[in-house]
Amino acid sequence: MRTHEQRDLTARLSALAEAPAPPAALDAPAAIARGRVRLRRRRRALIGAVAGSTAAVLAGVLLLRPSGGPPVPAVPAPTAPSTLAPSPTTTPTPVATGPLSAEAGFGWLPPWLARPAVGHANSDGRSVVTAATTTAVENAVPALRLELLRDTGASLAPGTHTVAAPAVAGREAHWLVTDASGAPVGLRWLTASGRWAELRATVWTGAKVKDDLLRVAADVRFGDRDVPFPVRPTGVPADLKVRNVEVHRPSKDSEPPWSAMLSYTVGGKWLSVTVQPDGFGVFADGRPDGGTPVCRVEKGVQLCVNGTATGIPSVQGIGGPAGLLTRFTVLGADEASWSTGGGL
Amino acid sequence: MAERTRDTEFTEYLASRSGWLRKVAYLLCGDWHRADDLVQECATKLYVNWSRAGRVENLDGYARRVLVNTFLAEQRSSWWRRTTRTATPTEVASVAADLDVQLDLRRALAALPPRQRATVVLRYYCDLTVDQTADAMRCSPGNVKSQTSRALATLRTTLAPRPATAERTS
Repeated sequence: MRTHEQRDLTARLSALAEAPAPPAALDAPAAIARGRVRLRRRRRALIGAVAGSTAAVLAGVLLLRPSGGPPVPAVPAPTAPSTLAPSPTTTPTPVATGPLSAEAGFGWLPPWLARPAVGHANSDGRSVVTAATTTAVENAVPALRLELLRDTGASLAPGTHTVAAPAVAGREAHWLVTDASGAPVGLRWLTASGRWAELRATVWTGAKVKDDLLRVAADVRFGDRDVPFPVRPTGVPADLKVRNVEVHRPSKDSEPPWSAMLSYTVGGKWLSVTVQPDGFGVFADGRPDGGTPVCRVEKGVQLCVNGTATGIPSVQGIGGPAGLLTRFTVLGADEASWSTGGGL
Repeated sequence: MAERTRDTEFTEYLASRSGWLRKVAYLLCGDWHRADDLVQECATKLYVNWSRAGRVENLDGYARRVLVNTFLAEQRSSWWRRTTRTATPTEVASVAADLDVQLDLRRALAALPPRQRATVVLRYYCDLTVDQTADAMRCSPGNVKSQTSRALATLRTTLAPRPATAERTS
């Protein structure tokens, strides 16, 4: 028996679902085409798995023969989601890359950012900091996004132009607005270093947002600093190039309370190591060709390797995804134990 | 020949049910464009597993389960890619155009963690029982009950009450 409250909720949900919507963008032929690609991959993987198992059985038979020839190395079985114990590693080759760093940080934040959650990322040479309410984070919408631009010319994205804004800390500033509607999307200002800083917001309702952004900008702290990170890479193969490092700490109440990721590329292939507290399911990278993650749990922290790691010779050389996971020192699920040192 | 039959069946099913799946997706994620992405990915997964889907008793239920789990899996993917993709305020215009009541509910749903939101949508929009919801979300009935209870408690504090005359009549 449903209460009035529950019937009311049903009515509201139905009304919301029936609200006017933009035209649907479903593309059935594209779904079929992508589906066929996945089916082909699945069949190939199945054939590979059968071949691998057959080879492993054959190798076992040869090894058991009383007067057999030289031992045949066993073929590794196809990887599957598993919890792996750390194994002894060979002497690691340190990677000459730095820790996760931030070039700027927030000072004052507006009160409409309730329980602000901060995320940091170093991606393709860019350093970005975001701040959002926990709610917005769960919906993947950061409320504020701060970046110190690499491009000294500060080129504009297509479809946007600038409008003069009040000076920030006595230096030139501009609003970023869209050509089509004239709606503001952010603020750019010149910093003491001569580089432009950019602050974008996803919340523009309310008259005070522009004032708030100017105040946020005036209180941004610049200067390189290390960002605490839950694991320390120790001997990741040197040919793996760091593409993206991120850590995200929504709040202690969120599920999970934090997550981190390191993405690497090598020779057109990619892999990522996802990190989160254990007990929140498998943290998959989410990219379509991510494969089945291989995971390990230590000190209450889950690490998973996603991507095309099995096709990377240097990763295969250290024992594949399972071996790669042993090349990370886990510092703990408690943020108080996190380090800012170590190469990435 | 078999592939053509499969494609025809799949296309016909999608043509008839994509509108419904899109509405469920919208209630889950609160954004029509993301809803389209979710349905597109759900459709691809359905095609890949079409032979299995053809054997289930309740094809709509199977499709809904694929959709919900696609949504929940997306919540766990890289925060960086998700935040980068949505770094521009594309939703502002449509939010402004919403009716107050709808905006109120959208905000209230957005304030719920993903699994609680999925529970609310499955139980009160799709009208599923606790057991059916547990099956769709691959969790225990007890977990559905606790998620429902917590979601309703939160919604009670965030949703403005409406008069009883606004109840659904269908």
